[in-house]
Amino acid sequence: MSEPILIETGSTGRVAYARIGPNEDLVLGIEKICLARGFKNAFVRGAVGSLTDACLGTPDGKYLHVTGPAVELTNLTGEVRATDDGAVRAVLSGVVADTDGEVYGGPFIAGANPVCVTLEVTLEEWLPTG
Amino acid sequence: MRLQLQPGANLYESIAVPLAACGIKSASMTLLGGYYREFNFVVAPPDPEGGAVIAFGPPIPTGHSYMVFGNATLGTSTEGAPLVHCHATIRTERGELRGGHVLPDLCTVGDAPIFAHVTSHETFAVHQVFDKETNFPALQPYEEKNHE
Repeated sequence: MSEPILIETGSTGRVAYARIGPNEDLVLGIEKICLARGFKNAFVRGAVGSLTDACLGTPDGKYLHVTGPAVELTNLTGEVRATDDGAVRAVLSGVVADTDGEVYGGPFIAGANPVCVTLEVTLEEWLPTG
Repeated sequence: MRLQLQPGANLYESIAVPLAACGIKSASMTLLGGYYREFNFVVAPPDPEGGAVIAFGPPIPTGHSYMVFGNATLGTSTEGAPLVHCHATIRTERGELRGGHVLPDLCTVGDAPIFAHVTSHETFAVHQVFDKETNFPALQPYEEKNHE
């Protein structure tokens, strides 16, 4: 018997645009923006910026390190969700390009993706029904 | 809003001109996939002179390319002109996947229109300012009471 399909209904709320500065972490920085703006849940709507180095997860539980500087962020997708303890957790994946323009993709490891020059990010608040 | 990038136009003009006509000075956008007649980007290795953490290299031409996806921010440059900060992943004319900092004025939209999903920022403005920490200009959001 197959699992039921779960759909979370809701609506979008406020839009936040912010700059994450040098040496701040990409994942933790987005969580901080949500906490500062009072977003419990949010979608990442886009980002432009660079990382000093990038650290991406791999299927075998290891890490792929992409060395900069700067590693350019060319795509970012993901969401921020409220946790039971009142905090928020960002789960992000994307594509980065190294200093030769070679591209790599995967999930960003929290605490291991420091911003280089700047990172501009746009978030949209998600308000689940009920 | 959904913006149509015009065939034959350069990427900068095809974003900045119609949005300016709508009174939009600051926005975030996703560029959907599409072909470009010409495409140029740069990468950011360390600054060999040590003046800043990085220094953009020379333009890398990739010919008739396909942009797989891209993100861009529209803001205002230090000179007061529209500024498009864009990063993208592309497939080059040689079939290689590459990515980096796009040079919008050196990219020409191909024969078919390309679409962009635009979120305009109406309660604040995005301005380019010189960042003393990195010795590099960067876009920053600012509250602006009279922002159009």
